[in-house]
Amino acid sequence: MKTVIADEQLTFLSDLREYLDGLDPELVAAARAENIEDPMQPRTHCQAFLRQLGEDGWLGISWPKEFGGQGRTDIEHWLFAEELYNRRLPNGLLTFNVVGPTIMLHGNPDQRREYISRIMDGEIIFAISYSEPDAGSDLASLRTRAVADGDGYLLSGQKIWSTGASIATHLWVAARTGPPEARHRGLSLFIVPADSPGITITPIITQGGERTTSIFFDDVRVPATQRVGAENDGWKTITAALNFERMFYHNEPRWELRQLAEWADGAGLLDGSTAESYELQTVMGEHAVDVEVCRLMALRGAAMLAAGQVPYAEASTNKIWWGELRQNICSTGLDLIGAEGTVVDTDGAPASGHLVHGLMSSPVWRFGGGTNEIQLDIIANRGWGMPR
Amino acid sequence: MDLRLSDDEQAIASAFTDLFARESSRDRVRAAQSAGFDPALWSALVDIGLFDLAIPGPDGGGAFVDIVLVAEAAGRHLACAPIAETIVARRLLQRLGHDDVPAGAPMAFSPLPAQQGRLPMVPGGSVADLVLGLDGDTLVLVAGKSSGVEDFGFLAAADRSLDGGDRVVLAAGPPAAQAHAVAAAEWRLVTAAGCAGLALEALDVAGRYARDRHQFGVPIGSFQAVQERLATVAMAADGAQLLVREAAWCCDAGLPWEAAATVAYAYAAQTAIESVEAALHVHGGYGYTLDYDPQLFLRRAHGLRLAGGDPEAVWTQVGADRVNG
Repeated sequence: MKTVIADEQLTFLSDLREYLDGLDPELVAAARAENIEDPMQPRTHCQAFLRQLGEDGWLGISWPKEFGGQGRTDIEHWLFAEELYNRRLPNGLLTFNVVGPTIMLHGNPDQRREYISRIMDGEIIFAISYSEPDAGSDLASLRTRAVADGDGYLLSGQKIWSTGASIATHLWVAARTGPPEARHRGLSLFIVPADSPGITITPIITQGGERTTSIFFDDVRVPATQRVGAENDGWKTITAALNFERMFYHNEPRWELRQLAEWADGAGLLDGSTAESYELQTVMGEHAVDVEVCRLMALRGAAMLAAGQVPYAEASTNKIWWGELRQNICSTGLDLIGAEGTVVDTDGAPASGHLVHGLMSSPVWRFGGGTNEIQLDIIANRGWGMPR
Repeated sequence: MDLRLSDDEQAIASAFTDLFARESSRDRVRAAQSAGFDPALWSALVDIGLFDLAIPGPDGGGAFVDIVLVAEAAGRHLACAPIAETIVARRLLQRLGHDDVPAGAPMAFSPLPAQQGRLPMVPGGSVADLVLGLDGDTLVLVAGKSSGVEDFGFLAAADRSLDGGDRVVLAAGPPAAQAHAVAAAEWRLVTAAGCAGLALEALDVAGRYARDRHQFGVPIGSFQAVQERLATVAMAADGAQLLVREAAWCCDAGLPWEAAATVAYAYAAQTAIESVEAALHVHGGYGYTLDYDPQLFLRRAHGLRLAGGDPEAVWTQVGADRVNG
């Protein structure tokens, strides 16, 4: 087997750890608390944390040096994301890991120059706006229209599940520029400032405590220069971004497994040879194996990206695996803690209430970024050549 | 065993279904959830005669099939009231000859023994003054107040102490343990009925959504992946209801029923969670929001399963009953 993580990448990782260990503990603690509460909404502290990383040259790991990045491979980018997940700190989420890489791939030189540098400065944050009330899994049926008007477009329609739009400066919007019957061949992708006249953003609160949003576009003017890719050729930009999103490694399961281990240690269940400790160790062992498989799937995807390939079925496999794993760990973890874990009170609650919180927020990952049924279709069709 | 309901049983099921539909609507549940208790629902249950129905008296009452029919309806409507706990506690008090508990008072009961004199997160514990529990080798009735925490299953659960306050010893030694074991089995059966009702309701909600929601120009319920997921849990929910009713029928027929009650609880509680997860999932992102109902079902299902103690230990008990029986 070829070495996937080379010595210089391990050096990168130890430099990164040393850097993170040296950051202001107050900034780190505040960013972590905010990130645990709602990771999809980087607010004051998370934004300050990311700006600090940017100032110190630790953002844009795999982006070219001419854009202010470190010019490293996608393997280092993945190591960076994994390390921050492991510390439950913000890593730039959709802006750095999905929209940025897609602009690098499908944006024109002007767009790359403008948006990558502003992302690097921590000046702009993106939210993704694809889904509509009646276009979920069937994304190609979306009805938000961008009608040509002078040197631009007028955008009208409604989006939903645009998570992070409440704090975003820019929206990454899929809209119809062709006839409905053209389906995915009639879509274009636009970058739209969130404060454009005609945009109304309303919150939707979820059972996990995260805020997502509904967005209404009422004749919003968008210059043609804001279109990413050719008109009616937005589908490849959307699918590229979706693959980055599904590939993007979510390592909350590992962190949550550690919360469970710390609770068990405090409860005296990690020593001795009682039936309870045996059972706990068995369950934790099974989950630790699943966490490791998750890590390897993400590493495989990063290696493909580093080699210039695009993961499709591999991205879908990765997404299903971590999405379900998170739920399994939190659910069995809460079962092990028992009824005392149901207290709604983070002060003094077992494992600080993290497993209850994780349990309530875990179902979203079975459909956020595309339902797992659609992922199974992609695995069957693209991965195994099954007929559509 | 005859699983068809008699006309009287049908009438009871339909009367309570109507009552819960009226007095435990989703709006009412949402309003009551932080307390885990809806006083108006409780009054309606007392007025309609739930406790005359559930507790054997000179004029009849106490049939377990009737009790599980009520509990299934309560489970379907996510009732915010300690129904199982109060029924079980009052039946136990009556068997022990204590009939001086105020009529209509909600009670807290745990199927688990106290640990160092304390019952953790006992259902009904935050609204009931009276808690009935097993403390070591004594069965006690304690009047007191709770710490007033909020539980995510909105079961009005709270920690209660059994060794302080106004405490009456109801039984001691082997008779205490034996009396508590019977009551605990009753609690598991009534709670299993609630879980089965909850599972069936969650699947009804999911089925309606799968028929209404269109993607790719057709209802999502026409997709095999969606059908199979719902069908798999629908089989389990059906099974849970059958286990509950069989155990209740055995109880009324004077046949051994305690082990069947534990089986019903272990299976129905697990099935409730699986059914709700499927229902939530079929709703996609909508099912994850606070505006839709799956989150209420999910929290209640987890709360009901954990109230019975370590779920693995319940399954271990099922195995032990089978081996020793």
